[in-house]
Amino acid sequence: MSCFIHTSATISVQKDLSSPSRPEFPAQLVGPDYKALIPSNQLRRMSNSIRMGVWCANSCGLEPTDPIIIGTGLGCLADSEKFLNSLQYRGEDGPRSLVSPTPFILSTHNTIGGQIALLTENRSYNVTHVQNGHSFETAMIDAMLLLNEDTKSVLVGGVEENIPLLSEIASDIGLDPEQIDKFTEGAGFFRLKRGSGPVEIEDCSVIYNSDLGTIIAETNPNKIDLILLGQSGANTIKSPNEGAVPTVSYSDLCGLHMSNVAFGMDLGFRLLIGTSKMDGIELNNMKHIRVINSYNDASFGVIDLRKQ
Amino acid sequence: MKPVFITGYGITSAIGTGTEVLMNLEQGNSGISPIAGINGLHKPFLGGQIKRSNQELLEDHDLKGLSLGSSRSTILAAVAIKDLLSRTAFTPTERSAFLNGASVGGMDTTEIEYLGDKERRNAEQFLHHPIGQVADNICRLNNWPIYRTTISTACSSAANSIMLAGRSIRSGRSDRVIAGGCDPISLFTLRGFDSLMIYDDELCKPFDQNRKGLNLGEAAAYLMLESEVSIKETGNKPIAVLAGWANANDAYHQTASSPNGRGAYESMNKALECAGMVPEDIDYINAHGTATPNNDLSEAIAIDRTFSKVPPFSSTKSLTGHTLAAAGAIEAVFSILALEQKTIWGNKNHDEAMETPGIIPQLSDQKVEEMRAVLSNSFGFGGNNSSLIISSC
Repeated sequence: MSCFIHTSATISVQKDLSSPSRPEFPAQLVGPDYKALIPSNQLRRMSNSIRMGVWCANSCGLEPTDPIIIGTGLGCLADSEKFLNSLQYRGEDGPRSLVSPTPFILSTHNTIGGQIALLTENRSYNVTHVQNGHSFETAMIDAMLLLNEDTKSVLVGGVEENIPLLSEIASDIGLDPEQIDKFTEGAGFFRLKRGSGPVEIEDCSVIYNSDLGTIIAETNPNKIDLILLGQSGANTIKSPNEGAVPTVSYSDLCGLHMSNVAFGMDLGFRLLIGTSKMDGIELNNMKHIRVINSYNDASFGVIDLRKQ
Repeated sequence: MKPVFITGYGITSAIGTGTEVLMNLEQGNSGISPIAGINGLHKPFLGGQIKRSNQELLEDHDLKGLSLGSSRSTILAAVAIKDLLSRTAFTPTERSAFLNGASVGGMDTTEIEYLGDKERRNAEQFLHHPIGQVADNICRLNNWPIYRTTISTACSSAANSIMLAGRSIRSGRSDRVIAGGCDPISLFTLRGFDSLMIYDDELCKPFDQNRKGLNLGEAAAYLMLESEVSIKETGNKPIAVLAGWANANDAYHQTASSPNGRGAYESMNKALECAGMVPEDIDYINAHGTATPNNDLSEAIAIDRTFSKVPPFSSTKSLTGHTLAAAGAIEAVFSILALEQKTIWGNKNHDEAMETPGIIPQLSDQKVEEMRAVLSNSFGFGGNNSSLIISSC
């Protein structure tokens, strides 16, 4: 398996990715200057997840022959809710006979990948993985399989958008308010190549029959210099005793959403190439970073990064 | 090249569950009828609805471990998986995977809670919403601690999950994969396609000059796909081979297909290349054929461009309705049955040939002497075009 990160683009609640720090939650998304990369007549019609996806794809330097693989747990929530609202059938008038198709068209989970392809005239392989809190890892595994076939480069990205309804539901089912405050949105995209690059992705996997304590305990301190640990689910997870490898939480930096492991992977990439620094982390001899994503303490994504 | 064997299938649809499907295909029995039990419709709709409630499905198929509040996606998937496992052995290993294709997910439960009386809203029901929940539920129900993912590319979702299974086995990453898809009928999709003015109030007429649009349907179907090594362990007998696959984007319009069907042309040609075949090797095309004016024109043009001599083709959506994400999976099953029975399935409700490009589908079932390979197309919103080639063993 040969898979290297060439470029990345991230949108999150962090103001400055060169020195990320824990924000005050609830935190607002720090959007980039979308107009710099997306014509404003197109931008107007785009929901948050579509504009994040299109901006990140362009920013990564997507080529027309690159396959596009998106991971998103919840997809285009705002347009889904907008279309649902137009279907209200309670009250005196009953269901409306005419409703606008636009939010329906934009509600499917593959709208993000479809819009990127449409706007960049990209006719390559194009799929969207929607596997809950592991949507990004499953998109990555597909991308790595492609690079192992005859593909030279591929775009892979994780995207989530947030709507107020998520917090309402979380509150109604009795989730910890502190966790609900951490709900955010964001995107992390990567252009991956076969052959060579500044950082290699040695492995990406999803583990269903283990626990976080075991995964951390089994992380070899002679090999891994740093663990970036996060969670893509809303449940409060048990923090295991720290193992022998220094561990930093990335979901404390970007907040909670189903594809935030893309932020974690980008943070690892940036630390290894030296474009991000964090207090208390010595970067000089850092070569290996392991990114671990716990989804509700039941399943775990593990991504191993190695500096070349 | 490692061969990818298909060793079993499980299916539930408006034309039956499991082995009932072959009987209904052979008799040309359509499952399209007036849709019942969906609140919030402003007019009557026709569709390929499975005429059993969620509770009846749970009881009929003895699905202990699923609650009554489960999404219909999960229930349909569980029925199809149970049907698959009733005829096919599956012991999960580290190199096994469950690959789902779905586009509605828990929207059927979400729309009931969201549009219902807010005072009586049960927030727990929203936990069924994420599409990936269906695969997690199926793995939990069957005690499979295995790799799973869900591909959501609208109406080509299941074709893409089956393609991923083929790629995973050919590359050696996996040796035993269950892949397919599921989608229920929901208010959201009925009204969505109706809002696009592509829902036919009468029976849909694929590839007919006067076609007006689709009828939706609901279904779930899964294939067992195995490597040579795996079949020695499971003892399953190959029933067909997944010979080729391709996915290409039309990059023309978010919902409409390009006039010359460039994405469809590319996916069919790349699938042939992947299978190491030439167009003459294909004996039957199970077309996407949704009966929308745009899809059928674009697909027919792409078929006409790909094949100098167009093989028999048909759309089975006049029997099942358009089952969205599940379409690629149920039509893969119909392709396997076409190979087994050496039969081309007829394209029902067709009266008048399309003026352009002037190719006519197979109108009634036809037994043939030789059936070596079937091409199955699935195209979706977002420009997603996928083609699978299934051949005899």
